[in-house]
Amino acid sequence: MGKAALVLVLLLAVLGTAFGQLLPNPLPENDTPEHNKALADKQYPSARVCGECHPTQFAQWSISSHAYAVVSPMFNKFEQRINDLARGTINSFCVRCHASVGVALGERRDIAWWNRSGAAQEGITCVTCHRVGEAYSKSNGARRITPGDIHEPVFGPFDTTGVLKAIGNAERYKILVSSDQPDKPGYTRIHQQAIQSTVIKQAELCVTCHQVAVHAGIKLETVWEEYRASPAFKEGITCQECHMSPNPGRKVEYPRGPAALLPNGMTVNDDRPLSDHTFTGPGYPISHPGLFPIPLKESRFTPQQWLKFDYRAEWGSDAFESKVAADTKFPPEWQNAADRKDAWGTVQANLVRWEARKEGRIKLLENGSKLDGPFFNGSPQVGRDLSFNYKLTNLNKGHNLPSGSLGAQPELWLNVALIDPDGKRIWESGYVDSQGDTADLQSHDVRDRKIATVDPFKGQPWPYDDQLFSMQAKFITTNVKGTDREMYLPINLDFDQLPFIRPGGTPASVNNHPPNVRMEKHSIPPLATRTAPYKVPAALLTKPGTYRLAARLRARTEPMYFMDFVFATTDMKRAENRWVTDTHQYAVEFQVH
Amino acid sequence: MNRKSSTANPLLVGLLLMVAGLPCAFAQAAADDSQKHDMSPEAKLLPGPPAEGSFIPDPVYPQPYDAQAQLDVYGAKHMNPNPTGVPAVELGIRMYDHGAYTPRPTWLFGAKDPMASGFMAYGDLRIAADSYDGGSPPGKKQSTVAARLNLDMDLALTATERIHAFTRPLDKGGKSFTRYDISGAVDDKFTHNFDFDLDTLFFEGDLGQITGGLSGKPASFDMPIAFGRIPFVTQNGVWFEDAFDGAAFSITAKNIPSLDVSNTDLTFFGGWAQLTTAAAPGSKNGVFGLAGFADARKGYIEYGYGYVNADDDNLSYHNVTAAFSRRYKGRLSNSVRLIGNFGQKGDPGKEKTADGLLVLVENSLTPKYLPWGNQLNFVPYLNLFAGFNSPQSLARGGDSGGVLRNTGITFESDGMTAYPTLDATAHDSYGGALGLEYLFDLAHQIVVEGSVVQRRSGSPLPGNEYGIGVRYQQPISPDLIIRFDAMKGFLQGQKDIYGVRAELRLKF
Repeated sequence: MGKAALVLVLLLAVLGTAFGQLLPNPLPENDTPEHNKALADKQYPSARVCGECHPTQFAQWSISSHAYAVVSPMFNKFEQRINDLARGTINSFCVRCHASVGVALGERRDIAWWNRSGAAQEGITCVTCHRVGEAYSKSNGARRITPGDIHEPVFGPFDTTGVLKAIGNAERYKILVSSDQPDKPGYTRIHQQAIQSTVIKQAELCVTCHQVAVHAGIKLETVWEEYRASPAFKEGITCQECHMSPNPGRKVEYPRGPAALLPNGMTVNDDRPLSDHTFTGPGYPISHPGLFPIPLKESRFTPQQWLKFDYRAEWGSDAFESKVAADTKFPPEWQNAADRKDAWGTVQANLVRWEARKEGRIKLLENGSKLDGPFFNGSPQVGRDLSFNYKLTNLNKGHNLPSGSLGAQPELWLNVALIDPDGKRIWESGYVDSQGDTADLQSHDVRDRKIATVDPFKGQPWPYDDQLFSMQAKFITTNVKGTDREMYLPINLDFDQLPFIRPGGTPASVNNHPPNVRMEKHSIPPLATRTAPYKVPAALLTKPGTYRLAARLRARTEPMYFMDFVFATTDMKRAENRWVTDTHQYAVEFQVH
Repeated sequence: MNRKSSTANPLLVGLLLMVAGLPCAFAQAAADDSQKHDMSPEAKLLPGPPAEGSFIPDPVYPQPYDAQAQLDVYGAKHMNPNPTGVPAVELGIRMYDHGAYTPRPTWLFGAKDPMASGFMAYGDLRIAADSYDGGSPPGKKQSTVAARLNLDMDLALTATERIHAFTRPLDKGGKSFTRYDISGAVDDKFTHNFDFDLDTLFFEGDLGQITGGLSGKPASFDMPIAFGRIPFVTQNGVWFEDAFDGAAFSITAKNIPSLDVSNTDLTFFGGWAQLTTAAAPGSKNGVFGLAGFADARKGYIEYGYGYVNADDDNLSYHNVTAAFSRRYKGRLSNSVRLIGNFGQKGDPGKEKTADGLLVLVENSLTPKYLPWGNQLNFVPYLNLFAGFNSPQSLARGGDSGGVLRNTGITFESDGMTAYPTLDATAHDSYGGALGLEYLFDLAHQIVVEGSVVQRRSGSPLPGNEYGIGVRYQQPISPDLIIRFDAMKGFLQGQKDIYGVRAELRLKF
């Protein structure tokens, strides 16, 4: 192809960029925190401001994964690790979604969460969706959030005549709709317009951050494309209808109520559908519980103070404070017992909400799946292998099971144990090793031949779980020669230990994946059933009697080996295991003759 | 706005508590629903969840709370200084940069597929010093310093549409590189081969997004497309690795519940010129075919069919392939690949150039125990092949080497000089490569390998070949990586071959 083609490409490059969009326009960095915050508030109001008139929506959102997006210690650790590996070439790719306002403000990707300004500390905050009026398709979060103060119009899915009516009766409602109006005691500033938008109620709104691929075409999150191949898409069911439903995972009618509740007690648009801003999903927080959920009123303790608060030792609890020795050393911030007590109260209140969120995701997972079994192959008898299976069905019409964030991280696996007539656990699959990993290729204990200290493997090296029934996707990279193998991330380091993230040289979208790297899915398609076959060796069935089979479906957002890979802290790993989601927990008994 | 008065409102506090309680109420209902399970009649459901202690317990963490570690999660983040992290040429929207976007122009594909235009030029510069002896015929001994510049140019149009071009300004056709021959067959001679012809130029986009944008409606389907001079790679380059003038489209990300297929793609491609195959030398070969992919059976399946419409019709041929890759018992990674050629008439009086079958069995092991280091980065491999007659990939570009390039490092040249390899065609031969790769801490790499090519009985080709090879690679700065290779080939009935080389690669 001749030089004319090269000239054409360069001409197109100049023309295309000249008539295209302006550059992302960062603000000056290294300004004072106070000035940065004022600037941020003026452009992208905090959810706390929205929460003044929308307290229910704020409360729901405040415990959501959206609110958690930039608080998440796992996000912060992972984002740093992938930037280290890619020598900075992935730069603000991750924060474009996770710190949507921060990146729009021009904040650098490495800024500490507590140094982010205003709504930039709130991850996917109100304006991230309600100030977006355009469709952006698969843009990896690269979209425009309309800047402006609280009076800037907002977009919503429902009839907006109620708010227009209130704006028309501003004096009666005691609201101010323009920055030209001076403050008045008892008056509240609100948006001067609410625009009913088709974009915000369509699944397309979600695609920008829920179908993610780095350039070169490496797919990281594929919920959107799973949805596009699903019965839900064919039926016209949107993401919002299931994930903003009062019954998580199912499209049911929204409850109705007022769209807004003003601080003065007046309500706006009293009979409007109310979508749930908890966005219930399988994820869960593992941060310091003092930091999350995001409180409506800013905590009197700074994040740095919170992170020095030893909630695990139960500082501030009556039990702790009654026994605390006089020479116990506390950080300067926590010398005061009253402060510790206050903080402990907040931690307790927050953990109550974490528990409530856990119940929500249990509901979601149980709405979305069905576990049947055991189904025995033949009559259980002493001296014979015990062969049986369970069947797991994905009841969810909208996407595979599991789906969710970053392809190869979410774990979903079946844990089955056999207990003999003496109550002794004699066989198990889906067990976790001493670090919490399932006993597959990635298990440190299996690879290091660590001696187990629990039945049924007590005294022997942790065995590889040959019958593990796991739906976790895996990233695969091609070896330097020959076949491929599992890798923590979809970056091929066998060919090049200096990977740069750049647009791919092949049209990867027409070819499933870029050369030498891909995601391998093991998830269950919508409405499909998969059989989990098990066989217990005859040698373990030594006596007749009543045996029990216990089963549970376990869901965890991060595997331990991956947390190790990103240098997660012990406290993060502890929390990850503490909040693992167990569903379909039941046991059966049967006779072995 | 008076924030304090609103947050202190007891009504709001009540609402908050009510909201917090709502999920619990629903959760209670869920527990009842979840207890309906079909099962064998021999099994009797026990009330409630499994008894305490039924399962191996989750880990415990007796370590005390580490405040500094938790502070560092947020406070120890850092940038990654890299002089070429941002390409020297970047116009329009900067890739992965921070900052606010302005409203997007929509004049190209409409409001539902807004523009996101940006242009980047990037790639790498490789400079290598090689000394090698390519064996028979005499005169292949050479010491040289050669350069190769890979220059990518990418013009993003929208989030899903782009134009991409690639050129190698320092070589002609991937065969003759700009170089300085120091000694050997050619002494003390500088040869420049500047060539700005484009090696690839293609449009890539999503027909669903484009039609949706043009009609002003959300895309109702997804269909990736590409046309132009398209580089196409399947099966790690074993079946297809070439650029051709043509077009491709794909039906992507489907699933098959009845077969429990989690994900499957099917790509159709067709080209009218520029297909490269050793079976039909020439630049006007056309091609059409399909390539499929499916995640199933705890691994993945790749398959394909293609027809090469050669300049010389006698050399046209059909090509089919199938492969299955999976990891077994956490120890063995395995791919089995088949490539079959049929339907070629052959030139009168000559052997067929694409005919027969290639079987590739690729294996790597994860050691059961490694007293040092990480087993996952320690990769012993054994890649076997058997070629019957003269099997061919569907297409292989000029610098893609032979079909066995992915079998071992002793089958791979350097893409710059005549650095020698064992016979990588797999014609009428069998053998393999036994090697070991260690990636240390993911930051540098060593590979050692022994390989063999045995001729099948009755083969008209020269005798058996045996090789050893070694490679070491390590970044030395955020944008520079060095690599050393050495190989020796013992060829029955021919002169032995060898090569040593050092390469410096600058990425930008």
